[in-house]
Amino acid sequence: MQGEIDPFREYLEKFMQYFIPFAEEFLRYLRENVFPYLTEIMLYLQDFSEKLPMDFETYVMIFIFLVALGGIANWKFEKKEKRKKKEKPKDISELLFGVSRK
Amino acid sequence: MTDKKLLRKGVIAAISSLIFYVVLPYVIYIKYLAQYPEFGVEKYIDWIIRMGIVISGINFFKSASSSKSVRQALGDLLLSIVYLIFFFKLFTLEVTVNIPETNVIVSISMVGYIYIYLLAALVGIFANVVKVVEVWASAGRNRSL
Repeated sequence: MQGEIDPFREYLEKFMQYFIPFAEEFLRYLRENVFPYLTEIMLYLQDFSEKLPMDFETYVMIFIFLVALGGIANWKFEKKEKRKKKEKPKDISELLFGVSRK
Repeated sequence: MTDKKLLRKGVIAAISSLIFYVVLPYVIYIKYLAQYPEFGVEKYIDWIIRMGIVISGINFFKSASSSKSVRQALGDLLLSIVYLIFFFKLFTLEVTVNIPETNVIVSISMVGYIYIYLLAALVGIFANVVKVVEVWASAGRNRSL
């Protein structure tokens, strides 16, 4: 078996030959053109995340508020599910047609 | 009028995310990690539990609304923003492992991943904003929240 070429490995190597230069180029482009803007956003996020409260009570209050909001919105905007009407008994010809098609 | 089916769906979503984000990390921490205080993972667990509480609330809000409604799209948007803050917090936290026998202190930080994640999260938030506008516009005359 050692002499045979594994087709999967061959495909993988071919894929990597094309993909790695592309990935490097793409990352370089991102580093030069996109990441400087992301740094500013990261600084804002850093400031924001430092201001987040460290206790659990605030988060539980947010949870209760969201659950209440969801419940009120459901009560206000959703309509009650309509019950399906009873289907009429099928005509004998339809039944026969259904059987004949099978 | 309430839609009990949707409410039930919301309660199930909230409870499942509470189990996943709050109960499971806490149990893992108490059972396996609390006996190794030198790893210092309490900060991670605390933040996972804190943000998990908020995520489960948003999941209830999202799942208790009918599909293709503005509320559901808003829930998606809120979720993506909270996930961004959550992962940002996790990535920027530093964990220091102190091994007293060898006098070695190892500091673990994952700040390197933040740029790629931030890019993906910002694209996701933008997509969710577009979705909110799209749902709002497609409602037409029968516009409702």
